[in-house]
Amino acid sequence: MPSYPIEPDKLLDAANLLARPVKGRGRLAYTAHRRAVSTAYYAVFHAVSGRVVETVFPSADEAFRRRVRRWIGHGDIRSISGYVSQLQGTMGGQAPTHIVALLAPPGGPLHIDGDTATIADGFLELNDKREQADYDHDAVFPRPDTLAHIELARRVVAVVDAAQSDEATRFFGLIGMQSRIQKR
Amino acid sequence: MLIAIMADDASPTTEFERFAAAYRNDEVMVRRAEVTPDVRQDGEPVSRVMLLLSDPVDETWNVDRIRELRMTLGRKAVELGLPAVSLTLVAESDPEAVEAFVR
Repeated sequence: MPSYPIEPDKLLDAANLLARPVKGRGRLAYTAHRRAVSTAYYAVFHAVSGRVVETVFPSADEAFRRRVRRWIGHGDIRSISGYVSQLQGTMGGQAPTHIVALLAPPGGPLHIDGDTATIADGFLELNDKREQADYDHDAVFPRPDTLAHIELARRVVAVVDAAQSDEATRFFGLIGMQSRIQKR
Repeated sequence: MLIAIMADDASPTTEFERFAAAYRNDEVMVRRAEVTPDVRQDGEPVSRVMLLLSDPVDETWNVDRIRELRMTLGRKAVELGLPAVSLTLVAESDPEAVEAFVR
């Protein structure tokens, strides 16, 4: 049976196609730009979920991994990314005490590196824009802004694919722990 | 009872707008900034920030320079006690997009 897995790089290519230049005035392109931003976000979402299952189930077969990937929710990645950004000082609010003790223990090493911060901050930005793209009728999506978000997604996907640090492994593992076993 | 909260010259929102409007790095210069408080689908508050930027050299701005901008504004929002920042970037030569500032 043929298999057509969701590939982040191809989603990014599709996002770029949706953001092609359109001659003449009119807001028609804004609809395509909304879909471009949403598609770019999904490239990041699927790249992260792929690394999470690789991290948690390193020797599992592909069928198993594809099944459990479906259990990872947007909110799971958003929660862990939010803690990272709060500990980095780029997002308001306090990370819970038990998370601080894990990732930034007093007197101990900070378990957040540059790659982890790039993934977390980029995910939060794109997750928010995707929500605007799909639900906010008042949001505007100029082409340079749309392309900037596609480039951000391309950067985050590249970092997700390449990150090998202990900090990144902890990040992906925590997302796995934040997720729940589902019926789907 | 309806309570209206008006932004004044000393409000964190106004201070943030001034800070953002003064931002520049080696590729990006902010010409104008507008901040609108909003709420996400999940109920979390968010600061919608629309920035009028100097035109990109190519079709869009450098991803690293925009990340610098985003991180700088994120830290300032935390400092001022404002909700998380969500940016919309408008190129100054895009007349259609610039209309968004005067809606």
